[in-house]
Amino acid sequence: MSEFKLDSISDFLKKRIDSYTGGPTHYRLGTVTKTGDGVVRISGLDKVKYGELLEFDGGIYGMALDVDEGGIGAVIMDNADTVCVGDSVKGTGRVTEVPVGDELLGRVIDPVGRPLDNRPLNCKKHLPTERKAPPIIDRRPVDTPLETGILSVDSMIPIGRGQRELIIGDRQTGKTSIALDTVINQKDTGVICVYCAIGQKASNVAQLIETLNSKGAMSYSVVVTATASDSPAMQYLAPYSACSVAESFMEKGKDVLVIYDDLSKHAVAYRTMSLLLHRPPGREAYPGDVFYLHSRLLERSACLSEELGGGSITALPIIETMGGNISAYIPTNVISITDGQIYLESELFHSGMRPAVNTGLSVSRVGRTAQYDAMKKVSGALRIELSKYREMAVFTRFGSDVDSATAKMLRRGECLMQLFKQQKFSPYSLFEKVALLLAYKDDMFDDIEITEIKPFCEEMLTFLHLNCKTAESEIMSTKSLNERTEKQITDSINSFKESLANE
Amino acid sequence: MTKVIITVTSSVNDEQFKSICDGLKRKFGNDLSFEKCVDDGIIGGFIADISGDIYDASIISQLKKMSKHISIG
Repeated sequence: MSEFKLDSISDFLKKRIDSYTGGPTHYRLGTVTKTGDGVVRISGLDKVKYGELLEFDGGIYGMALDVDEGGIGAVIMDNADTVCVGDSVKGTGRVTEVPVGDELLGRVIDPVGRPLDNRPLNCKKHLPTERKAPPIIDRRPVDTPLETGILSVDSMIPIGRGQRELIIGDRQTGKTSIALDTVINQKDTGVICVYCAIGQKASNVAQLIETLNSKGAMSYSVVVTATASDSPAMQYLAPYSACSVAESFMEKGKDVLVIYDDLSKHAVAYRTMSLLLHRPPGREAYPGDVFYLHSRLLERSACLSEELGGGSITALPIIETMGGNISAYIPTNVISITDGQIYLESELFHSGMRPAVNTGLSVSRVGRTAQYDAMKKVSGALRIELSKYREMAVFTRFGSDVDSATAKMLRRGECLMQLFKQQKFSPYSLFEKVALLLAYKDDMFDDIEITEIKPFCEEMLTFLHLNCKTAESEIMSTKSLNERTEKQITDSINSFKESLANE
Repeated sequence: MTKVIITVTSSVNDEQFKSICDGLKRKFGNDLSFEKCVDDGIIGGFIADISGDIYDASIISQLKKMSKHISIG
């Protein structure tokens, strides 16, 4: 047995040696002339491409970002302390690459594709991190919804597959939670999720991976992470790597969801790099190409035509604002690039409205085309009703008397706000969302105390799951709502209310 | 005049060194000046450094390349 093993090993080695095609090699060598803060100047490498991967003594890698006659400016990706003046630098002729493929599912990698979960990675294919966005001719309009499982988002700010929807808000307003909820809701839908953490605390990322694991969401997810302790070059690369990973799945015809958490830290990392490379600072000290930085990334989200497999990349970039200021430089840039935004407000968050979505400032530019028929039918006038309610709520704050029509409107608005409250990591299915909004539409909550609405809803949904199975399976399979199923659901809700009254 | 630094092992004699120089002259023209650098660490062969352009025909780098090829393919 051992002989056989030895034979097979030596055969294998012989085969590998046979396939080796060696010989003299030719490469260019430069010398480090200046080093500091993770940025080096190199002389002598005059044929280097922009963005080329450079190899320093000791196997450290860097990226050429400033190419001029006098020399090259490069950023170091790993430990910058070990690079000294006089070290030699080799141009590799390659641009930065990341491993891609199904082997990545369930894995945690860094932006250059090194596994961070202590298991070897056996990816056969690599893709460059910087790739061109799909051209116009290869795209088709966004028409399929990507359900987040969050009632307020799916009913009023629907997200379509291939869309770019920004999640924006102050710190601690539940931005990452919305993204995570969306990932968890993609279970059994065939959508692959790529979560990209940029400049975040390692402890937060560890917790997030733990959450994904416990919800069984890691089996269809990939996490690309560059934490706050990684070099700015790594943080800069992270979203592009994540996008390349996503593109490899999209090109196989799959639907992919990418979350960039968050792009304001990405812009800060790029600003650090640019200032150290002596590029002229512009507004808020960001370099001139900070718009292009994000536009070229988000343009890579697409909905490919049927001829190319019909895959898609939906992007959920996250931006953290300071003191609710959405008119700062980076937020306005990203708002103008994306197809809409979900605006989270700390005031709402602290008043107990979670998720703290400000439905007035949130929009989805894809709109109703990315909504299932059943959802369209029940969510028609929600936005208008809610904006009227907010307007009236301001006027009546001081306890003035109101007529019955206004009182009804206020009551309905309060009711809706209660419905939109939702626990973290407990997404609603399409049937549940339709049932809740149907009950709201038919004024079924009118005789229930405002504070009792939420517990009532939970009980009602449990009741409906047991007693309305045919309607549920019909809605979940056809994604539409006909009169018969609508009547079935309203009848069930009525009988549930009767059973409550009889208790 | 372009300066060329040629790294060889100590076992290379003057005649062998001259043939390396002649070979490089045939390839890159006669406008070259040569400097010899001895390093037994390269095991055999030579490395020519033509102002940053490296032509590496040393045994050590071929061995390194081969070990990389066998281990990862």
